[in-house]
Amino acid sequence: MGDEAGTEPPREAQPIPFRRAADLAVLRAAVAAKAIAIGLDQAKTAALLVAITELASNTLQHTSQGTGSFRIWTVPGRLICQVDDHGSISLPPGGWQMPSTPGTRGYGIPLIAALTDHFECVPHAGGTTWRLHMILSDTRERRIEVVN
Amino acid sequence: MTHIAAGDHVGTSFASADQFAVVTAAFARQGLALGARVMIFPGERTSEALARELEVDELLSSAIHEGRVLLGDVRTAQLAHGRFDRDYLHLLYAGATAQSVATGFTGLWVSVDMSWAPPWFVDADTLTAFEAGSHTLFASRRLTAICHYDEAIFPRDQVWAACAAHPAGLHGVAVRRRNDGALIRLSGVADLSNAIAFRALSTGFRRGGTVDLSEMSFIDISALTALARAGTTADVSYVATPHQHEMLKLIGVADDRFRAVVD
Repeated sequence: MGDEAGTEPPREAQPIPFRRAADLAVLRAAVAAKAIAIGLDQAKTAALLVAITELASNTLQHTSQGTGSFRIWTVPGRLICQVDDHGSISLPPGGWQMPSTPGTRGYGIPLIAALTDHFECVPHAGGTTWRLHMILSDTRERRIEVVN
Repeated sequence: MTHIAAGDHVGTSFASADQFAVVTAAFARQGLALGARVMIFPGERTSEALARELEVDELLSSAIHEGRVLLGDVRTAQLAHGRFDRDYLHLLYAGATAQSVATGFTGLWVSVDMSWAPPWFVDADTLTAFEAGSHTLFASRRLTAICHYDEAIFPRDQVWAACAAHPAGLHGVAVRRRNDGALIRLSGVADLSNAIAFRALSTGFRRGGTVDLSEMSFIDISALTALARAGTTADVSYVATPHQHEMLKLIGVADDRFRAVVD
């Protein structure tokens, strides 16, 4: 699977700004509409809805400005969602791991990685760009990637 | 405005008095259409705009004349004892709802400008806890309420928390509870926008009861975690969809209390 980090979203992937919790429903509606349009299966769609909600909720709650923008587009065989925010993130030593105690906080990023086929986190001077990929075939590759 | 269902407890904020008036008028029309009595409590900053809105609305004007829409003074009603009194307010709303039903209405719809409880008068956390803990008032789905927070009075963080303390918002997100004998059925959406309300709701389930989540169209990880935590102390079991069960497994709480059903 090729990496998308560093490539720009296509022009038609217009940013959808989000600044409050009520906007999460708007993002989910955009994901659901695109998923239906391209025939992403139900289980992957449900997983992506949880993942994008988790990611955008993190932006709203844990970044300095508490706002972000969302884009969604397709490339052959793949659906890509991108969130840009003003947060800064650094890779924990040993990578992101699920918390050792069930039912506690800290699931966000490891969970997003587990729910998607490919997950990118690109910190930069203005904040962080996150990309979630869902592959339209049955091939499922789960990995976390940080590009500095 | 999004459709509000009877029994919803809606939290929203407004930047202008006109915004309050327009949303309140739409809310009142929905309540009247369902055969409910409507009570409106504007604040100092919103009363004039509301009066203008009601004056040009024939339906609402005649409903006021007929006593189906009542206008009240927000401070007199909410602060009858000159202070914030959670128990009094619960009795007030429960009584007003029962009286509306006893006089032939299907229920009571209330629109309140929350400026009666500014942060310098009512502690923000206390008010948020009051909102979240009010779910028992709405369990019969006879009471429907919309609480408007003035962005000129309440700081952004408090507005955020206040909205999250309501199960429903104006943008279509709502978690709804229906009692079906010993079974509690939840439907709708649980996410960050109603997270505080959902946590409060999930701690109020009856010991030994069953909660059916399978009609929920979306539930986020925090809400599932809240259920798992609440169930630990209250001995509650859950009916979940395979997708919900998969999420519970991922966060390590898919134990015997959660039973998956085929969706």
